[in-house]
Amino acid sequence: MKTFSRLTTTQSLIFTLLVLVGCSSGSRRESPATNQAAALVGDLLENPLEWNAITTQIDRHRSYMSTLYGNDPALEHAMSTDDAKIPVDAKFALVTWRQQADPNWFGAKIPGKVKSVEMVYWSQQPGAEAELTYLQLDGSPLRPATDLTPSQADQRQRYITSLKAAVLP
Amino acid sequence: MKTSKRRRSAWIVGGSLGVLFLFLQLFRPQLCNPPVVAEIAVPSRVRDILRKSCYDCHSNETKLAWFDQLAPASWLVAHDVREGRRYLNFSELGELPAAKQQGILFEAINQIELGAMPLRAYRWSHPDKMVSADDLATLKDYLISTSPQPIAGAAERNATLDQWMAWSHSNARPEVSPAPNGIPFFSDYKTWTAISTTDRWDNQTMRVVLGNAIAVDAIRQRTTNPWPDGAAFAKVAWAQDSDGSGNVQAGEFKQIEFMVKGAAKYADTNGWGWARWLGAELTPYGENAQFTGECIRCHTPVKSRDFVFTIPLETSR
Repeated sequence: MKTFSRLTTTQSLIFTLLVLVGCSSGSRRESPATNQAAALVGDLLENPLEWNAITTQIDRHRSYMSTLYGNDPALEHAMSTDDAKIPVDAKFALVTWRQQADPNWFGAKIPGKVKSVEMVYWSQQPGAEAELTYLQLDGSPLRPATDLTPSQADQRQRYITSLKAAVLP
Repeated sequence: MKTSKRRRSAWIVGGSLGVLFLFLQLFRPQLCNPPVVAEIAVPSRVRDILRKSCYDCHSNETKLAWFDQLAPASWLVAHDVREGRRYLNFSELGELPAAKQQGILFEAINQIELGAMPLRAYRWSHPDKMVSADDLATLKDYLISTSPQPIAGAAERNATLDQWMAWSHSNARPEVSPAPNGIPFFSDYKTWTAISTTDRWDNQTMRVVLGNAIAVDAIRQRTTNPWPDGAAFAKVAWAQDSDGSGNVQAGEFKQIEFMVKGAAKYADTNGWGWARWLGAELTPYGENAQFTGECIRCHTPVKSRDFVFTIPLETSR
């Protein structure tokens, strides 16, 4: 009898403990450690996410968010006036993601699946002068866009290199 | 013989506990309901939910259950109500500007959604006061419907341009005073790596979060919970400049906030050093070191993520 009552006491203690542990672990939703949905995978030669973040923008209607990244000469260009020439070693990348709700904050959106990466950089053919080049990669995994006209490419290149750096005091 | 002895001891122990319990009732904590100054201005469907689930601790209309009034539980209850009112009092919020009230409501709803509020002991002892899934949906729908999407007018655009001109044309760095808790400004933060961007539509700002080399390395090594000592983040916030056609650009620089990990060094503030500087002048935030209480309370719902909200991008391939 005594053994039985001791056993039930132990059992109820264990049960209570399990309930408490269950409550504490079950009451909170776990969010992922890293944002793998937004990772850049595909035909990228360099990872622009390692460059300077120059500025950021949102397209409310299509629920996109973009961040302009660039190396130091590109950042310097984005801090200069409209008529400044683009430095010869500048590299820009406008990365656009579809937005997703931030699981950790109702009232915020964060990058979701990548929509496109638009690169602007100098390239040089043998015997020719270096020229500014625009390359658009779409989708996940990223693949070079195929249906782009030269005038569209020119327009996007001008737009990306015209963006001003967000103030970082 | 043995049984009667045991029974007597049980009576003595039980009786003593009973006397102690009655004695404790002499020490009742002082808890009164001051007049309602200015109640938060929300529709009744929202106020009813707040009244049911929040007002017992976060208003001047506290209604205690009979068991809340018995010592020693009453002491804990009184403490929770005092702390609750100090941090958020729905009976006084109505005096604040509408945008500020809205911001406070967003934080409150995030505390509910992330499971930090109502307090677990309160949920357990007052199951009828729980925030149901329907209640939460009502609160969220209300906030979505009342969140403004302002268009940047000439004044905002000029302010952005003036700030940009002054910043991009000057090589002089402002002299930055340390935060009131002694944390110095991280002047090398611009060389850190951007680990995420956030569209904060709740308060019309956009943010870039930067991590120092230790933080970025921890992301690569997947050693982010807990973050290693020395890991530091900078969260930069700009106003959202919207052109009215759905295009939003980073506008005026608003503030920069830092978190630096030091499990032992910052043990008193949950293992992190917290700091915030406001405006392009980088004015330290907070009148004294107690300002960190605000940071910690807001970040407590993500305690299981070592107090970090940001879900970092994979910066390496």
